[in-house]
Amino acid sequence: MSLTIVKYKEFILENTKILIGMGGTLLLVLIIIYPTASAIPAVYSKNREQATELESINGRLKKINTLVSSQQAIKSSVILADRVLPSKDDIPNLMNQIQAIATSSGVSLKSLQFSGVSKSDEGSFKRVNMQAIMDGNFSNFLSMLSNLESTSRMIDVSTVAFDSQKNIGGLTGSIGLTSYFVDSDTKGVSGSMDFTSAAITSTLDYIKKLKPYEPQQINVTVGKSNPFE
Amino acid sequence: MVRKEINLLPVELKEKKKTEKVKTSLGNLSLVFLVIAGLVAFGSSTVLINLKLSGDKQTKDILRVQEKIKDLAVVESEASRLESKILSISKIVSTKNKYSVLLSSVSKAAPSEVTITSMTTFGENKVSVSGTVQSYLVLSKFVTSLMDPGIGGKIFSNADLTGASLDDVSGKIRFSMVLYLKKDSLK
Repeated sequence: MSLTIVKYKEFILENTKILIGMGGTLLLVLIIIYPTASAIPAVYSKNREQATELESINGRLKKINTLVSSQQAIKSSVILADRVLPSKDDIPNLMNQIQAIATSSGVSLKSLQFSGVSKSDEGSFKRVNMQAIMDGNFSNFLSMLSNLESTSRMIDVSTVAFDSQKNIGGLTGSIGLTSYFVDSDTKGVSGSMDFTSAAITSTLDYIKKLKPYEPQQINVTVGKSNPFE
Repeated sequence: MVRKEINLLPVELKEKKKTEKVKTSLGNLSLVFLVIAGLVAFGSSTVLINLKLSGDKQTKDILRVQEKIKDLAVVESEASRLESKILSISKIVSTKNKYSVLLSSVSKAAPSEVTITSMTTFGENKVSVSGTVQSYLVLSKFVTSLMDPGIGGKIFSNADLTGASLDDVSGKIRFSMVLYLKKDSLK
């Protein structure tokens, strides 16, 4: 037993340099080099991800800062855009607007039927479909169509049918109308938020030219004990 | 004459010297390894610490920028809402038909002797028109002017006369036709 220990001691003393060198190297590899080297790729890729995120949010902040400088213009444009494409169907106002356009064009609105709401193909807006029956003469209808094309709440004509035989001395027109709105169900369209781009400025210029038809204010008292009387 | 060297050292001693030489070389080599390992350990630790420090800095920067963005979120959401609406509006406008152009074109192309009794849009880009006219000659003039590039031809690609007959009571000719609108002519 003691002979073995002596032998080991002897071996250690004879090979001190080798043992220190190899042992130290092994320890360094096991304790420092391997753990750090294996951790570096993960930390590096995490840093790269963070760098990309930082670059992206810095870009976003830069964009917002440019938006802040034109905040006032954005606010007024939002008001205009809300008028063209409201955030709810707002049927009463739509009816008022169609009535106002008909009256100002000299057309008599005989009936206005709502035939439902449908979503656009890509789901970014909804359509309110209507059918209007009107009486008037040719120039009245021409004016009516022109006014519908330039009204501030967007109203699109989908179909037209005119008949001169139903209305002696005039025309009866059946016009398919479509108006639009966006609500929480519709998904927003996102872009580069570059308000100087030609696509956005031309649309903004277009909506600025649209004519608002203010609905008539009628002072009617509400509340009736028997509305069937 | 060749001189022969005589080595008087015993073989065991020779072997011992050889082993010692090998041990010394191995010892030196292992020390070199140790130094190299030390340098690599230092290097890798430095790289890792630097990466972690820069990661921490980036995390702080991200939080700082996000905080700033949060403060300006109202402006961003307003702008985003505006952009979304404008893009939707431009989509709607691009599909919008101006039917006043249709009425004007028919009006410009119609000779005074033509009376249109009905006009209806149907299908894709088709308009059916019926009416009365004094003579076949005037009807022919109407069709010609509907196709005239300076008048109706701006919006119509074709005019198919589907029927024309003389009404014995009124002495007028009743006609019906289908007009084909050019693509995007009402935009």
